Amino acid sequence: MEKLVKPILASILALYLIMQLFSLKLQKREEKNFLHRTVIYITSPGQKAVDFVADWISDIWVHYLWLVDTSKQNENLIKENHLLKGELVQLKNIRNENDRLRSMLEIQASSPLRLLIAKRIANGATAYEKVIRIQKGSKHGIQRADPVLHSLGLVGQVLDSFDHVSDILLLTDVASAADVVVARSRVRGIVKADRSNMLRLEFVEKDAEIEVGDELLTSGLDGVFPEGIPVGRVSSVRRSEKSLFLTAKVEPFVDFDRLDEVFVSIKEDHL
Amino acid sequence: MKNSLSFFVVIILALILQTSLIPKGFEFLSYLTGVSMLSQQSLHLILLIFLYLSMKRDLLGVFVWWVISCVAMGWFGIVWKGPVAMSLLTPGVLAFLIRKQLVLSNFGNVFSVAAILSLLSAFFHLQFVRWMFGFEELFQIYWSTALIQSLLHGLLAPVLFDLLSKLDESTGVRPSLERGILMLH
Repeated sequence: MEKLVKPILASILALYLIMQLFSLKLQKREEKNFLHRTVIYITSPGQKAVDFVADWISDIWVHYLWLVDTSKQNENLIKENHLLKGELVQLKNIRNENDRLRSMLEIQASSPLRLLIAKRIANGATAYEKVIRIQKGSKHGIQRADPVLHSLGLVGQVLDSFDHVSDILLLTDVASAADVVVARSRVRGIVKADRSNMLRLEFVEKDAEIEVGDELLTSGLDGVFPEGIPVGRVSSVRRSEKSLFLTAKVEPFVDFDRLDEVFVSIKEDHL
Repeated sequence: MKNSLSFFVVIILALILQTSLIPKGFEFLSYLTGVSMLSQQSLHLILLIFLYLSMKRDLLGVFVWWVISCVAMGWFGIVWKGPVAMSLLTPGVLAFLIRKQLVLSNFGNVFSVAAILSLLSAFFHLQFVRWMFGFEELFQIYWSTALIQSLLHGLLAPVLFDLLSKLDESTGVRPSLERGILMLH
């Protein structure tokens, strides 16, 4: 009997190898098996604990020990705060005016997003894939492909959801894409990952009205991201004689290096 | 069995560190130094553990640990299953094939072997993703990550290999090429 174990094991492994070689596609999102769920259940508190301790040490360093330029930063922030308060008053006026005009035209206001705040507890298993793990999951209403946002703009979408944690695929991963429009000219295009946390705009006609400084918003046409979420600002535009499309580099509004908390936009029927 | 369980626990612990503490550490380092490139980094501990096992186990053991490593990595969030699996298997099998020619007697030897195999792993990972997407600029995006990671893996490998070797000894296994990790003989 013992002699049979090794060939059987080798055959199973060979089969697995063949399956791996021929399944070079995005990991299939099948129902998670018991072992998978159990490991996530056991290890995610460990990840949370490690994250908590690391944050605690980092906080002590940043807030109590490393106070270089803090006074200067404080002065700048106070000035910025005054400016923003002024802008806020103007925006409130614009919103009131917008509401009045909507009611006059009888346009129904789009329903606000139902957002769930979640803290990042871990990154993905390799440095080449831009995935983060957050401490909220399907028990909180999160499902696969739910949009993930930040106060500054679009972050990505839910890749996988477990009971108490979810994996998020960031917009800066090569597997990500979002349908966007230029806020000024309504020109459409697709935003994809580019080098070092930058994005690039693709499939935009060469003579389209787009220039450096233009802001990009989600179009809502990809069926994943809601309309009007800020994505980034065009930092360079290149038009080539040889190509039908232009090439534009986009600087995302979200700093993907400092992504500690995100908002997951959950659908009401998930609750 | 005790040895296999110990290594499984080590893999899970390594994955917890690899996904939480180590990236946090690099982010903190990036914050302190102002070098933004550092915030993207982590250490691929699973790759190093698998390289060690590839050099110390028989072929069946290598395949068993490859499968276990891939499945465990899947539990901790990976997007591209195939490329990740290939990025482990190729340097692992190479390490297994050339293990008799390797002289891992000092820091320099282990450093260079681990760094080269790590670079090879990065190449296969990115190449497989490139084949699937036709994303031509992939190497231009990640070349610095691959180089830094190889360097860091090279530096860490001597210490980690030493610890894993001690784990082998403490669990009663004297790693040999004739006797596999599954102890089926």
